[in-house]
Amino acid sequence: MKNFLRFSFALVFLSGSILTMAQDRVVSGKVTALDDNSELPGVSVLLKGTTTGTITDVNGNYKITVPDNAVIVFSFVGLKSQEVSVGSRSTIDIQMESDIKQLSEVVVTAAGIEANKRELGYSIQNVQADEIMKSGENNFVSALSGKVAGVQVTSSSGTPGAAAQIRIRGNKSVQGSNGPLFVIDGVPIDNSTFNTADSPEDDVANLGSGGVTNSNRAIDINPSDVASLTVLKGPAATVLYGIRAANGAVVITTKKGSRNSAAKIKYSFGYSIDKVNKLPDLQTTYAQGAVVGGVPTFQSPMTGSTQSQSWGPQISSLRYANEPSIWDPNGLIVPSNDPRATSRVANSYTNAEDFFENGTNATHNLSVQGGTEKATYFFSVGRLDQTGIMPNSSYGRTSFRATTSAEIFKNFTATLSANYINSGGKRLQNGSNTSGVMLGLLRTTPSFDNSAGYLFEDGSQRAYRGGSIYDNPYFTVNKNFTTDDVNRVIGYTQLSYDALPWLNFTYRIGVDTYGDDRIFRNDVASSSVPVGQVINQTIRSTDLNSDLLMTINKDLTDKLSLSTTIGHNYYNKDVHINRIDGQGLASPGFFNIASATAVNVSEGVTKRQLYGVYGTVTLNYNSEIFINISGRNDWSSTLPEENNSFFYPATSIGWDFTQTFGINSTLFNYGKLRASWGQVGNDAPFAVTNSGFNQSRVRDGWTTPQGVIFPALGLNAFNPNTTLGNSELKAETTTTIEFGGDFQFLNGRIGLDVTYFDATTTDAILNVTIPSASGWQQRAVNSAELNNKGIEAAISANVISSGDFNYDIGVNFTRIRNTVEKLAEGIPFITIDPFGTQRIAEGEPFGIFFGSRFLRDSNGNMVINPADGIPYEDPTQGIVGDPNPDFLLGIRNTVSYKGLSLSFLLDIRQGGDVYNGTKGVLNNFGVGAETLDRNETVVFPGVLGQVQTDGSVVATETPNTIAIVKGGTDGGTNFYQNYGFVNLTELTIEDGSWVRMRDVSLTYDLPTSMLSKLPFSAVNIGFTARNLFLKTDYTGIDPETNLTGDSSNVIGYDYFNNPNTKSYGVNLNITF
Amino acid sequence: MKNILFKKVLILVFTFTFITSCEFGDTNVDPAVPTDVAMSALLPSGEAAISWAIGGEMVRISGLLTQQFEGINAQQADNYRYLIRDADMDGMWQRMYFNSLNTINIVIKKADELNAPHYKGVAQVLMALGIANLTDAFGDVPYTDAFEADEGNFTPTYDTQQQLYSTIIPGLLDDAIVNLSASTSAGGSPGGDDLIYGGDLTAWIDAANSLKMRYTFQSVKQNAGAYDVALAMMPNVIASNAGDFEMLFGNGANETNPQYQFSQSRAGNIKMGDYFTNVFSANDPRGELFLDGQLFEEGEGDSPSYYANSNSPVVLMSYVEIKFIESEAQLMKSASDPIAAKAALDAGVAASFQKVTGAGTPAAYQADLDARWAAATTANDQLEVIINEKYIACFSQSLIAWTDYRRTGFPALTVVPNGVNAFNANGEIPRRLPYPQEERLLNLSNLPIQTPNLQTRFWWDQ
Repeated sequence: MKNFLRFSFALVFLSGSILTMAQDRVVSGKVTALDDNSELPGVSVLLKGTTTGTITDVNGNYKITVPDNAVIVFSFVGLKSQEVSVGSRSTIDIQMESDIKQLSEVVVTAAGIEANKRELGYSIQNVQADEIMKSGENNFVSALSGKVAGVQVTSSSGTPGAAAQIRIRGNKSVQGSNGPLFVIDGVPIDNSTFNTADSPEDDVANLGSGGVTNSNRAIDINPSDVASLTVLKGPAATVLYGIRAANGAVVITTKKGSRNSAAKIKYSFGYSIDKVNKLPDLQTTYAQGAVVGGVPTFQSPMTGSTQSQSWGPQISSLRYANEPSIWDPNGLIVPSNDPRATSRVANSYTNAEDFFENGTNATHNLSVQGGTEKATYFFSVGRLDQTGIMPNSSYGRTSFRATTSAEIFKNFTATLSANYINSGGKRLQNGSNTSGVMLGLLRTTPSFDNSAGYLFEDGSQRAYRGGSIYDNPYFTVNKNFTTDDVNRVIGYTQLSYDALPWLNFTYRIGVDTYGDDRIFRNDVASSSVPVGQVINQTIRSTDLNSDLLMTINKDLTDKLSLSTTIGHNYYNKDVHINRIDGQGLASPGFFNIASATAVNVSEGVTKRQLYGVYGTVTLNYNSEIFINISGRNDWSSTLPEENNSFFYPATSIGWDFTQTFGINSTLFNYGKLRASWGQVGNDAPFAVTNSGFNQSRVRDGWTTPQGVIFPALGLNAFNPNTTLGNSELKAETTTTIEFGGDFQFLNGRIGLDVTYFDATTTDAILNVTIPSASGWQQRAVNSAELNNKGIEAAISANVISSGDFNYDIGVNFTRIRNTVEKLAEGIPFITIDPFGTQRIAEGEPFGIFFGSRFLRDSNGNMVINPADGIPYEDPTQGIVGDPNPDFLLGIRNTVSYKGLSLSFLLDIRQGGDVYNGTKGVLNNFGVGAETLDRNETVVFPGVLGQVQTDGSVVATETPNTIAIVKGGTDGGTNFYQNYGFVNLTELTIEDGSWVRMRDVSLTYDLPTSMLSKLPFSAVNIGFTARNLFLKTDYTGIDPETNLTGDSSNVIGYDYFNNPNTKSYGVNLNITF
Repeated sequence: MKNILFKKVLILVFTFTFITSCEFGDTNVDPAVPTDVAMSALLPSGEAAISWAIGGEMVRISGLLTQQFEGINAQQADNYRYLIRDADMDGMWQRMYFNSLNTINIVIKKADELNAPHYKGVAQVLMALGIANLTDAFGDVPYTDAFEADEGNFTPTYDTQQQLYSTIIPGLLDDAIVNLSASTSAGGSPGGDDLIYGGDLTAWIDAANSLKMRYTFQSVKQNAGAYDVALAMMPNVIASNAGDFEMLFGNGANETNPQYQFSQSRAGNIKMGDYFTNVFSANDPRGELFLDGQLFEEGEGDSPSYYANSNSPVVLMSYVEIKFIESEAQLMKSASDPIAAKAALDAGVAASFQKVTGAGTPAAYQADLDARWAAATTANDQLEVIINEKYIACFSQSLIAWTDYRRTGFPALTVVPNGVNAFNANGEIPRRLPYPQEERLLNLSNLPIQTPNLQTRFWWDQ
């Protein structure tokens, strides 16, 4: 590594010294846009009649050496060209005016290369800073929802700091990450989500399904530092980033100062209130208890029962006795005919609604930017304080960013950027976990008041089932919280040398390093670990990325220009996770590792190295035809030595046919057709090429997190790793073919970008489950084939433009069809979720739901048990749902009048099933609102079944006419409990379609007349709302939820997930 | 000049290419996952895992089906009323094959490589124990073709229960006895790393002989002579409570007994079954120690426990069971000897009291037992007395209660209500567990029963 760096630096300086040439005099200046004074990067600055020239930098600055009497031509696609005689001036600032026909945008493509969107042969989409700020999201990944065609974003929950999962053009990898690469100013950053579950292997095996909601690390980026963001979708766009962008890339450009501008100070403040936006419907009519001998009977800790369910009598039939009870401050609850009964009717409680409170978000951002003749600077500080809708949950983030750039020698610019972030908060447990907030909260019977205390004086718990069986949610939030504290530095140095007007060398080295210190707590008397537990987990992650680039931009002839980049990339990732598991606390609430009576230590290491060499050539013929050819070769450490080198190419063509045919009518003024083909490789996860032994933990699914955790019983012990290594793995390859076009109508007032893509991943690496009787449980193989095809469309329309009044609509449409074409030989499916419900199965869409279902005859009729009138369950399980949406649609409406602007984003998701495991359990427990029909008599439609001598059931043709009481409250079979604890999977799959008002903002810019009386140059006041309304048939929480966040490929999984939020806020932006 | 520059750049780029295509060394090796470990580091894992699997989920399912436990919540409530899905079994199968037996199989293979017959013998006894428990729960199971994923066999075929009972299990145990009797073990012998017997090879030989006796005896429906064969093995088997084949857990928070841990992690999922609670007479001091107060219901017991303390043993084969086998064999063999049967029954009950309470059979209890025996006029009635006593005495000892019920129909349990479901169409007490879903989905062509059901009887149950 060290040698490599030295070598790279040497190269830069060596090339520099060769290329230094004497010139006459220097003219410099700044190019800005006439309409909004924005700085214009990438403008061609050419000496007329020559091929000598340069382009403006990111801040619109240029510098060119000219002979006497020179004329400079400034040109840029979308702007009217200008010719300027230099005369004796040494500074020439230019304002350029839009050429309506040529209206275009600059995008940042791979490796920090800026390109004109007009010249691209592939689809790419920009998101502007204000779009991100309007979302009101603290996690800027969530802020992308509904704003980019081809992109699906799913927040894991409304918990502060919760991760959001982002997918560009669907899931392409079975086992590997499907998340895109995040790149800031050319430097890839880490977006991992690390789980803290009850044990190191559960972090991985159970995907943290029973732990806390964690953050994806891109959450550390302060959204207010983002200037613009480009989403790269296909391999033609991402080939230069290599395998790390196999799933696309989110390329962020941060705000920077500009040369020759006075210091501009900006301050913004935002405050919003969060509320829970949707909860499952629960019944409040029936009390805790069970049907005993055909009679619903009250059973509770008061009657010495640990009854979990609410199949008891109507609460209104129960009375308080004149006898105190430690379980209810109102007294002992008895049936009305009990001699102790008073006339006081027992209360019914809405525990779930009462539990949530208002969360708050306060953000402060202060920035200073500007520049001198030779240097620019940008400094910012941001602070976010968030409290959640659950008591005692919080998240905070402090961010400092500084980016300075200086021309230290002639044509030699050095940029230094550093971003320090401190983030973290208090997180609460969720999911499949008896200490999870929602598990204890939603299961609570309506005849018990959780809020009347959670701890008795003797240290035992007050919960609806008695002691520590399910934690009282108030116990969990106060006693079982997890804290995380992240200290992160992202920095880079970039040296850029314009050796010739058309030749640039850039070297950039970036480091992203953080430490995440977590303390996971389960207090004494918690239900999952009654002896108490403290886990200290320290995650140290360092990414180092180095890029050396040579860029050529040259006009070969009048009509033909060339741009070429050749580069070298080195990437090293190092993650160390140290865990100290302490069990058996010396004293309640004493959460230091010193408190633990048994301590186990583990150390996890993940390492990855990657070298890449890449090149791209783009030819531009007369701004009509654009041809690009690119390629990259990677060497990855995670593949076996003989297979660790792999090459992948891409090519694209764009054709502006309006230019060719001279079409320039008002009706149809611009049209470009584009086509691309490209491949991208992907490597294997860490250390799956060899087998080994793990330190042994002996337990089963019912006793996690405890059990025998070696070293124990005075010995250390190991057992074979669950995964059998495969030393023959090779890189997987995704091949994408893409067609599309960009069109503008009505003088550019209507724009349409539409793209069709078809991406096939072959040799996808997957960990297939193998029968455990073979000795191991999994093995990594290269075999799957996945296909994603889809249509993306972005439409923009300026509907009304009348003086000060403007109405714009922007639409993003995404429709992706995903098919698993092939899995491994003899492997019909792979389970990807911890409960075995979600699978990747051959011939099916990615992640279909698989589970128990009704037994049906060949005509699809349910087969009914003649003994009790209840539908039979099919003894074999099958496919019961598909989590992939039919389409996603984001519609942004913006209405502005003078300084007033109203903008709202309507977000529509059609289709996409969600597994509502929560409902299955709640109905079994008799607390789900559906169980209010428990006393109704029903006849299940279907045909009667007949039991055969071998025990199997066959359907007859006799229609079912057996009338039964649905909830079995007459002593018959209870339909809601007949199929077991989590109920029939078929009954728990629900349509996750939604229509939501993702965000609304009303902003007002103070007019100049008012500003002149104030010491500010600009003031903007806004009101914002998030998730203002949500329309969905899903009966659980907000269907935008996912139990395992971004840490896995699981989608649409709801098992006692923490709910989502809606919020209302104000913000103020002041520029001094 | 331009040409020179280009050449230099190209040379440099290709130099990089050359340099960087070199090896990555051990970058892709996880330092926490060694590629090889000593047998002494594998044996404790194998012993603890097999004890956990048998003493945890297997004891629980046997207890639920024979109403020693009652499931009151979650999947245990489903299992109690015979709703046992194939997916519920994935865990038990993984715990046995992956966590326990594959580790044990690796010890066997390493012992061969290193010429360590003593390690091999110990591992073979454990392997026989594991496979035998699996077949008693599932019927035909893989053994001969199992544990070969590292050789490319991902779909092991099944050995029939008849093969397992007739040749494989006794073969493993006979081989184990030979290996344990070897005069030297060059590659090392188990010592402190043996959590069960601390390296006492004689004790292991007794355990091997005892298992042979159990599995000979259990095949009696297929082999009427098995009673006599089993009785002939008596001289070589475990001869006292002190020789019991059992694994002791510890009091540390990370080394507790599986039943205790279940009561802590999953309080409220089961409670003691009414049938079992009612079989204890007032003069049976074992009742308090077995019934555990509210331990499983509330996570806290109000009385001491024998099998569900943090440091309780998991019993894999006991002297108590030996005496009950002897008693039943004496009674049921072709030349029935009820007197010897009663003597062995008394000895088994006494050993149970001794093991659990530290004192022998209380006089009142013995008098009551004598009276019940005297009142039993037929061999079948006497068998019922024996099995009813065994139902108590062998509580929490692997699958014994369920196996005895399937063999003899005792104790005379009544089925639980609502026991009819798609997998258990007749609502009777299950005769088998369904094969795990992973086998049905990943190894279907080899699976002996393709649709899950709980009533198809296997070989020794026919």
